[in-house]
Amino acid sequence: MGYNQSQKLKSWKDIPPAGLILSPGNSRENKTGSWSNKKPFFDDKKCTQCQLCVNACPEAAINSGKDKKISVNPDYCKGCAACVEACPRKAIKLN
Amino acid sequence: MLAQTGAQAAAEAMRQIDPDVVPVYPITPQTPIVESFSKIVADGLVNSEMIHVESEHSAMSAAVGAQAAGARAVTASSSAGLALMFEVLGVASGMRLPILMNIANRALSSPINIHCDHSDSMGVRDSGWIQIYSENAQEVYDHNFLALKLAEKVSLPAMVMQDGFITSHSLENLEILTDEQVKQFIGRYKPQYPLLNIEKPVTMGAIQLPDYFFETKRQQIQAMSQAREQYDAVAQELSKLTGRSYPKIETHNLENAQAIIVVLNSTAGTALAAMRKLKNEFREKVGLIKIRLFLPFPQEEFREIIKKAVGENLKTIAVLDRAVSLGSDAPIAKEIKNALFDLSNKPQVYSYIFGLGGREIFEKDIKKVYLDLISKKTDHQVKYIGLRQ
Repeated sequence: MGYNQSQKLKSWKDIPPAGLILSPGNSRENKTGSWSNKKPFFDDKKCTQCQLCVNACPEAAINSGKDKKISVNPDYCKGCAACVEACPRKAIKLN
Repeated sequence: MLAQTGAQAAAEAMRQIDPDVVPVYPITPQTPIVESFSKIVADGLVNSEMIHVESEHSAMSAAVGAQAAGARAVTASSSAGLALMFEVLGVASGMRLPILMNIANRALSSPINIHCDHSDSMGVRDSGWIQIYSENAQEVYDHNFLALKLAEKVSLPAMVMQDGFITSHSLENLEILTDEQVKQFIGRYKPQYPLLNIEKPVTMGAIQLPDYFFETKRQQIQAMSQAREQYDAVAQELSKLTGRSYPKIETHNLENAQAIIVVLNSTAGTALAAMRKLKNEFREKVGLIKIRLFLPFPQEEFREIIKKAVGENLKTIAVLDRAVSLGSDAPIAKEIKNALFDLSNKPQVYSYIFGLGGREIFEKDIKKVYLDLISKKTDHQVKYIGLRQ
């Protein structure tokens, strides 16, 4: 599976000068995962949906749906690999 | 016509600019700029709020705050004061605040020394400020308006240099504009995003992480290019008022010159006088280049001037630096070698260091450089003018 971030980063020609922020409440727009180099990938055959990675994620970027299926929100995943460490089945790899 | 020192000329220009805020800390040899301006404030001749800060770090910080709020801020410094501002110089340029600063050039410690060299302003040349160098009091006065207008056009801060003591404390004739002319020329400061505009609130100086910091720096690089492009228009507009001209690179006697000297600030005057006193047979073989706009460095103009001169007669260039870049070539020599690197037909470039810590340079010293160049009695070793061997 590939990750597509919802935020497209802008060119230097399209941003305000001097890093100015022109409207309040913009921290919502700041996708903190934009600077990660790697994202976690799950091996569905090994994953038992035990949810330990959900608790280990410091950014709350790993969620599980009603079907307990794990999903990662790439907008906020900073690629720290806490989930990789937490997984008892070694089902997660950073790539 | 007034009789003024370089420092008084700077203060007089500041009076006519009538900046909103002047946060400043005195340091030799910049002190008479502050003294003269504080008298002007005490006499009620300006509306400026003068802030007596506790250090130069605070002076530049207060200037940043004032300019960000939407005010025009002007300050002045020298040597260790400029060094103490170092951190905030980058904040001013990074926040794109067109602050104006007068610098009376002085050596940096250690050993402690209050006299002129250019190690202070050359030491901050990567900090994103426009740098304009002045030969005499008249240029200090004129350059203040030129620098302010250019700075505000491209949203970058600018510093105007004068040689400490040599220019800052010497009395010269000064032609001044009327207050009305200055007011017309500089106009009102119209910042795009003043912090105090509550109709359009903005956040300034926020963090930028690896996803946007690089893009913001790219904008600053662009602004420096714009300063280089827009300089001539501003200079010509000022020329119309004063009748004096302000080319980025001032040339003297380059036609048929075999050898030229490149120098800036007051020594350009010494060099010109020395050149004019050479015997006829030598005088027609030498020329002089005075650099006025050092940053952004006008590389292409310099290259074109040299290309043309090489096409005529030019063989050698001596670059005179009043600063060292320890462990590397001297600052101006480095810029010039860099600018000429792509020329297929290059003149020889020789580096001379002079005047550190106020060591005097005389016409005879300049004369000797010219004669050495013409008689080819020089080599690529760095030479030291006026140093006891």
